[in-house]
Amino acid sequence: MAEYKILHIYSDLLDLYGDYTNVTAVRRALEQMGHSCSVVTAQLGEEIAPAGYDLVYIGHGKPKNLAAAAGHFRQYAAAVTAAVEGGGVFFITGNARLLFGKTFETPDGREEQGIGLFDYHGRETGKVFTGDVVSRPMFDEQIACYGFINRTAHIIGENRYPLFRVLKGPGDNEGTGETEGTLYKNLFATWQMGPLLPRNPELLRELLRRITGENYAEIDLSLQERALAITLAEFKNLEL
Amino acid sequence: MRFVLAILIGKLVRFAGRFVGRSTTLPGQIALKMDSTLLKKMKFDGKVIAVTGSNGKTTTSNLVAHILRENGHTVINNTEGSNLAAGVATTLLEHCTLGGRLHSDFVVLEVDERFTPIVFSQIPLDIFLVNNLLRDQVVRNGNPDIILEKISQAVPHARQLVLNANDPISQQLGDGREFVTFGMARTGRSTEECLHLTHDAKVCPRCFGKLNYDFFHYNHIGQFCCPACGYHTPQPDYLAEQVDFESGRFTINTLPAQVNYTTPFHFMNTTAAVAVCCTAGLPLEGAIRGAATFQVSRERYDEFDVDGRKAVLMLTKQNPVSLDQNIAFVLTQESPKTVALYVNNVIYTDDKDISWLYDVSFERLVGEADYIVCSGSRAYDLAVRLELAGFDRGRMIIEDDNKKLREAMKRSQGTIYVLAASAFGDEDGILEVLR
Repeated sequence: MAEYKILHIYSDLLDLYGDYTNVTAVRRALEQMGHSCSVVTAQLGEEIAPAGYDLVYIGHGKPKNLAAAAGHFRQYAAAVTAAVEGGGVFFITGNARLLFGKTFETPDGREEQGIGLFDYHGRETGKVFTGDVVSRPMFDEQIACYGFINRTAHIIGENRYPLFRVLKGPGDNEGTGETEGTLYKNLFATWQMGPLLPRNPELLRELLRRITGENYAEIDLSLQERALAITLAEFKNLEL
Repeated sequence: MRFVLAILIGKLVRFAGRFVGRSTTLPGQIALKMDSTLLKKMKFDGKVIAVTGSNGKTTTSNLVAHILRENGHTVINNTEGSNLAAGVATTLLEHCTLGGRLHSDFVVLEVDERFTPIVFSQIPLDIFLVNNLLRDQVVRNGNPDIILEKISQAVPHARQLVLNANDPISQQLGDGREFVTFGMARTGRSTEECLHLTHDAKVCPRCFGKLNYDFFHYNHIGQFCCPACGYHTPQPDYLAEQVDFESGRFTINTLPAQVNYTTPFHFMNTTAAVAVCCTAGLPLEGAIRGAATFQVSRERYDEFDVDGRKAVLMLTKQNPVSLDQNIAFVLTQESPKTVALYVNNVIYTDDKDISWLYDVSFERLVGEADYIVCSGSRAYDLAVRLELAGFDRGRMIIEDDNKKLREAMKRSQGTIYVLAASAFGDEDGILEVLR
């Protein structure tokens, strides 16, 4: 039995549509494996020190709230970058991705700086874009995942480390639909929001493998597998 | 001429539509197509009152209309919940003269949040009530800030604005102008901690610092105060106090009042409606007296028998606040009980997103519901969510085939509470097999 620690950054500020359950799903799975797991939060104004955590999570938020986070997050750019480069496991959903790029536009037309770990920029469209996404993760292109996008911004500029090859739905922006998300070392980031890990057992397993290493053990996710299979079967035009 | 023709055709379609259904929006659609400036040309002899917000629009606007009528006024309102532009046009078409004049003392309109700027840039708005703002159907509404922005475009058109003193989000609509507030003091059901996962104002919407609450009524609606910037619940102009959930008695500004449906939601809706009617010129006593005789519409609530067991149907919108309210009702009922959840794909778009189910506090049903039935096209996704909430698989009955649902129900026990998350109409699937 091992002890694992999850850092959930901005759990109060960036909190939309069931994103928090990605953390719950990891914690439950670790407990199912027989390990213990604790979750620590870091809110706006508090120190962000990702070193020493087994997983760092940031979720999707209202665009104004994300803009409020940018200046604070930048103060910890060096610590966050070092953690990512050092192989720390990160899982980032929705617009929280923009914090890791070069710049992003805010709803009131300002430009905020990200920590510059990646080359992309965030553009605020002022329009709500929603839709189903079916995709294959780059770490295993035999797998299909289901997710949902709800965003008012999108990413422009080069994304050299895509996480998903998209079969249905938009990519990093509505124009280019081929790839979506970022997988860089052990950082997973995606526009898809909400309960991504509860609904995608293979994505959860991959994350758990990277978190636990040799402590990894198989767990029963048969209910999740069946639910996903039913969902994917409804996309009749796709050969999955 | 085009205007008169549009009205005439609209009225005819409305009349004909009564016999074939679809009469609540089609006449408006057709008339607006014939004359896109139709709404702008309507003439109102009386005052226009609009009700919007995430939850409680239909009940509150019906309440306002009821109170005004009880006080001897003539009122036109869209009782059928047809609250988009075409629905509003349909209501006005039905009651206007061929010259487009509405003679009633009041026109009371429930309007969808997103459509308030479109509707009220065209027709005059005397009193505008915004009940509350909480996260709603993700596919339609994006996030609460987007809805706030939409409504804020309608606010300048309103002569008077009535806002919820207990809602830190929608109260921002009053920034820079005068407004009337309603609110509710701490009740026996107020809680120190938020009981719900859906809490849209954990941080202050003005300065983004942590927002403190003295108590919560439901979700993020409560008495708040931001230690960083000072944003706080004001002293409401119309305050509900002394709330008694047993008898339905309470006071508004110390005068005795009464409701016949006793949820925190309904006490607040009633106080909101009274605030609106007083703003419209009614004396407080008259408004309270009118509210006391209001019967909550039971069209979203029905009781029937399933193989000798009592079943209660509650329709819920595909949003977490609505389902949380129904769960709160189930929790007040006696055991043994079975909760049957019916969840389909997203209405209108057929998206398979169920992220909103992860914002529903199903955790509150663990240990309270003896069995939980997962049904509808998203039955297995629902089961995944419920397992995460802490339900034992032995307590879950999963059946995504409607035809087998009645048989599956036999494995459960006690009164069946059917919580059907749908809009209007697609609950037929579950009703057909159970009734």
